[in-house]
Amino acid sequence: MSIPKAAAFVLALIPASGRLSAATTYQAAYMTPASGPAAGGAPVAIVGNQFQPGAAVTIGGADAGASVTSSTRIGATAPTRNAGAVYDLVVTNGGGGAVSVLPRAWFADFLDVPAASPFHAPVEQMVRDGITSGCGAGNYCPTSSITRAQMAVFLLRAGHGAAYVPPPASGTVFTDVGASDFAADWIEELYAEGITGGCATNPLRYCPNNAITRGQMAAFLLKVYHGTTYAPPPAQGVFSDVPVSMPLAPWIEELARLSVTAGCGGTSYCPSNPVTRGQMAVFMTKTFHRAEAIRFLEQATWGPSDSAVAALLGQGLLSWLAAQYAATPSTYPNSLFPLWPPDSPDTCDSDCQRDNYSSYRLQNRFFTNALYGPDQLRQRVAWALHKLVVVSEETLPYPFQVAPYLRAIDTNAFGNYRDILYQETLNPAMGEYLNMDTSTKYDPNENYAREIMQLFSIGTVLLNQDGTTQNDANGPKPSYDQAVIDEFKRVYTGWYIDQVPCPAPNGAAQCDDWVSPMSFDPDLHDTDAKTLFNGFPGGPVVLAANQSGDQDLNQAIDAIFQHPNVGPYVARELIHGLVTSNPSPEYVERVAGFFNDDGTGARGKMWPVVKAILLDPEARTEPTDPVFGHLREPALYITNVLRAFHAMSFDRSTQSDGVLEPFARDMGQKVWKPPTVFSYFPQAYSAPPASAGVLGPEFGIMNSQTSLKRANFVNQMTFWGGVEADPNNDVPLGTSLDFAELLLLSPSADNLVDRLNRLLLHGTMSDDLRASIVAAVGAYDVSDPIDRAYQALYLVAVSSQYQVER
Amino acid sequence: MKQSRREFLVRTTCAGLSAAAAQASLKKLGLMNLYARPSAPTDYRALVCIFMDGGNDSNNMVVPRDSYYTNQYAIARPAASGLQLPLGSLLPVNNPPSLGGRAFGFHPSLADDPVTFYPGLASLYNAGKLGVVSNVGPLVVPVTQANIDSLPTPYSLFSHSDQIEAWQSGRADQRIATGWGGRSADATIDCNGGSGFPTVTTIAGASTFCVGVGQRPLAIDTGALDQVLVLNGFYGSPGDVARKSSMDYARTIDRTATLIAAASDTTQQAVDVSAALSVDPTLTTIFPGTDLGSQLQQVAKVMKLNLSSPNLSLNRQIFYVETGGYDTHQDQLQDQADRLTELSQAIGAFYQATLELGIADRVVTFTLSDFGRTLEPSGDQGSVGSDHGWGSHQFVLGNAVAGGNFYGVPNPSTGQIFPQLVMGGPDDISNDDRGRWIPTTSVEQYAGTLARWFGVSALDLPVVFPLVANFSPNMLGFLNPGTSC
Repeated sequence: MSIPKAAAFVLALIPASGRLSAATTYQAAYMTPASGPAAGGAPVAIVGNQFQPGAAVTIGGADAGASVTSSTRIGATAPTRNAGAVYDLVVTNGGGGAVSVLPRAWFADFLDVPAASPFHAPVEQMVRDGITSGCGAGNYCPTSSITRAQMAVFLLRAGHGAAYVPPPASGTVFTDVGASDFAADWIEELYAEGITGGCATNPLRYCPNNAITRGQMAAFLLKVYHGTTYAPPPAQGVFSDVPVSMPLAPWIEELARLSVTAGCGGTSYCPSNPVTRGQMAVFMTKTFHRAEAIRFLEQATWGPSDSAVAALLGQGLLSWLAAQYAATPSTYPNSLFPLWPPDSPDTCDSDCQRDNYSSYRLQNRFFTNALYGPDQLRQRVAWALHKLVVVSEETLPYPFQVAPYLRAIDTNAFGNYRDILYQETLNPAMGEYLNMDTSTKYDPNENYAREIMQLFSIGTVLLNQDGTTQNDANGPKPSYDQAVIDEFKRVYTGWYIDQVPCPAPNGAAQCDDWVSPMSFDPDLHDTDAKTLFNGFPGGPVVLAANQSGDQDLNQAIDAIFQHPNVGPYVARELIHGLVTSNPSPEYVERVAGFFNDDGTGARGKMWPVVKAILLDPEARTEPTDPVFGHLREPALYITNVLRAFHAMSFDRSTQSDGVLEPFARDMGQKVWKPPTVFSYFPQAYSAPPASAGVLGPEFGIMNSQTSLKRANFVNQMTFWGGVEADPNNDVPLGTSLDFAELLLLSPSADNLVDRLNRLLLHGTMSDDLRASIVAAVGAYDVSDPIDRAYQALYLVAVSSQYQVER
Repeated sequence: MKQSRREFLVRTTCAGLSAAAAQASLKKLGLMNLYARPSAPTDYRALVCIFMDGGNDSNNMVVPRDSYYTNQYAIARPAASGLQLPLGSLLPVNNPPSLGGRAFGFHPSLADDPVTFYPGLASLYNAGKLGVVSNVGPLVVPVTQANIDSLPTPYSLFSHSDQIEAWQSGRADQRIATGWGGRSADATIDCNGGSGFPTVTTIAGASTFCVGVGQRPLAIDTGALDQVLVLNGFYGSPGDVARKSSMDYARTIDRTATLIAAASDTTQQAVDVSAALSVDPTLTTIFPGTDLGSQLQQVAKVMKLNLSSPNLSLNRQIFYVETGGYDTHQDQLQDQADRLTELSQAIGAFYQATLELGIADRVVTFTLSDFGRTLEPSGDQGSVGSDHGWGSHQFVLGNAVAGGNFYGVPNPSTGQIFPQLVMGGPDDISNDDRGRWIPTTSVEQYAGTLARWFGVSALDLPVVFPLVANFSPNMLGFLNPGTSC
């Protein structure tokens, strides 16, 4: 029997990206934008890996004038194509290289549905789905009405796929539909599947040439969406022109509950009005593409809801992203967190202490921003950056100390990463947290010098652009050593936190100035020459003697910012925070490519990086890789559940007060108070069992204790009714969920569970899980609808299948 | 038996291990089957790891009290430096035979508890229960000041997170995902014969030390033991029963997705163990109400539960607790005094509890820390501390410990196991450094001694400590090896 070598444990080494390192594979991954005017001329970017100079690009066979800007990016110009058609993108790599095909990558806009049209995204989706190819001559005819015959074709293609061909018609089903009439095959199939019962009986007719009405459309759409055995709950009388007795009323009201429609204005639905082709595209997209929208919103917001899903589908991804870029930051304004004196005044009672000398209000605002703020994506990115460039309220417990640090992250979340590095270096809270504010030339403190490189920018080992480590015979190559830190620490000398007169109501006192960048005392700055990154990639960078503090600092930040590690390091950490713990090296490389060059030669631009993370097919495609996804960290888990069910105050009269941090704390995540500068959980924590070599950072705080707390949170929001208002104990308004819709569905356990499957699991619930939950719901009688609703939501929300976001 | 266990350890380190096989492995470790043979443990041994977070300045914890005080310590840390412990304040401890003729004292905070009168760490040393492991730290190979630039040294020295990883993972040449506590649990799994209760219990989170290749630690908090793992909302109604049953079933399905299986397994362990934690044992020993006191009290309660509950009966247990605040770049005299008071009083109480439970000879408590600190002070009069160092002194306590002595490997050029307290001296990293000691004792030698006593066989020692062959001797003398199962 041989003694196993120590080498056996090398395989338990943590790979930088969770996968064994490899050179990336050549491919064209996607193009953006994916549509443009048929006349051509739109600039497009093709994103992929291992592009070589001289690569050629065609769109639908026509040359697109490629210009390779990096190994991950080719700039091109869309050629003239036929309006309303979809074309393949073909990349032939430089140097006689391989061919990569992206089928149906480019859509040439209809002449009558340009990019600015409110129908643009849904109409493009209709064409990509193969449901319609327009009305001819390059037009879509968005204002034309649709016949019931045409509708049959649209519905079956939506339900079965673009390639579907129904069996031949017999002509014996409807008296007004002959076997060779237009769409006869489709109409008879629609009847065979139970989606239509015709327009009239005795005799059975279909009325193929009648315009489809808004009322009829609701039923058709939902029968395809749910399957034909589905029976919606009874109507409640939501629309003034849809009486509950109308047979189509339950369908219309469900369509409204899903936010597919908001009616035709006021309290009306206009059930008898015809549906235009443009409106049809909107309705179908909003009905049949919900799963993709939910997956996107899980990655780009604090959690999807039906209304958010519908809004996204109506706009399309690129418009949604543009709106998010422009959305006003919710942030942590100075007006809400003004400076207070370092010691609380005698007049500051316990509520004043709670509000101004504890993390209470800052934590509450995190949750109210997350639940209600319009700048969802900015908040998600800012949270990911907070976990990277860490300041913790554990050490700085007053909100006025930390709010400016948060504002700098929020403001620059879509800006440039260099600005984040520079501004946070001079941020007083950061100065206090990592001791730069007491670092002088007589006693330079190395804490900040180390962490700005180790955690905020470069990491401890040299990275390839795909996030994998550069190795030699000894293993991963270090990116710096103690000597490098010793030189850098001399740069960060002489800054200090100044004092200013306090704002009202403490105008007579002096406050530490946590708002302005740290002040500088040249007498305390080391002005000798410094050599940065000596002996390591990225250097040597020589800072001349006798420079000003700002010159030294800017040149040092530049040296760090220009280090080749920063792109893959930031890309990897943001991908971990938004999408998946184990990205492929190709994905990391494509995103890092945008950090390195946004397309105009600019480095460090965060907005292109964020878009690259979310638009990449690895994020957008329903995963088949078992390793894909990430465990929802406590803050994300809480907000996802609450946003899905319109969390409001306990009495439902107003917004929640956001007092939710105790749940996150129990689950192992004290919001704004990571235990150390290494954040809430280690970047490189392995999902158990460690032997599998799969990264799962969030598992660093998921253990026996905290896992049960997740279930207890869901129990609180369901069976225990939510968080009651308790003003005497710092819970002014409380939080509760909206169960109105689940109560409507509750009589049918199947409907109830299906609803939760679609909203929380985007339709991925296994048959076994469904059967188990349906049976458990049945343990409560139909006369107890609220417990049935609680039972279903509890079981879905506490499941591992939901806790892991894929 | 040994072969199958080692094969298991090798097999599960292969990256190709499928999720299904990992699940089977977890089942094999009995994480699913809680109710094992109903008998009291027959050969109980426990390791209790106390991690002193931040890098404790052991230069001020174990201090010469002889001419080395005057000629070395007081020169490097003069009274005016703001970092000196006055000679008269040190608690005298018996001269360690290993440093024949030299006298030492402990930090004044390591005194007896003034309220309970439980012996503190100095008294325990003098009673022969506590030993000092001198100048220990992560090493790849033994190095000296002369050859340090030409031999491999640990990755990212002086970095908190990396040195914590090096100490806890048990190797200093590369980052790995498991710790020597977890691997020791893997190697002794046969001692616990199928009990579903995990070998490793942590009261301070599942840090690297606790994680094994196969075993996952139980992570609980302080507080009543029957309240730490409670699932709310279940009162026995038909609806409650159906909900529990469906929840439990859901964890057994849809396991193809790796992270879903991992989440299910973590929750499953919580549910399994929750059933075992059905009482909150009481102890007559009085624990201080500090953070470390509460954690060690919880350890003692879990030990009592194990001894008294037929459903658990683990023969081997490993515990992990943490105490922070040792990163004393500033205000060291005050801060370290407070921290060491908490340390001594909590450990003193815990030792009393092991006497109460009749297992004082079967429990070894030991400390780890990120690193020692620079002999040279940092900061100035208003706020003096020390910066990150390397080699440090650690404590090991228990009736099985050959206490009242210092243990370690001598510096070849001085012949002493205790560093010369001279900046730039023979123990310093370089001849112009700030008093950061090159460890003469490696983590492998220190922890290997603990692991061998615990029951890791000589054959399995290199599996738990992959670099142990680089160091000689591979055991220090403060404990004797135990029998494996």
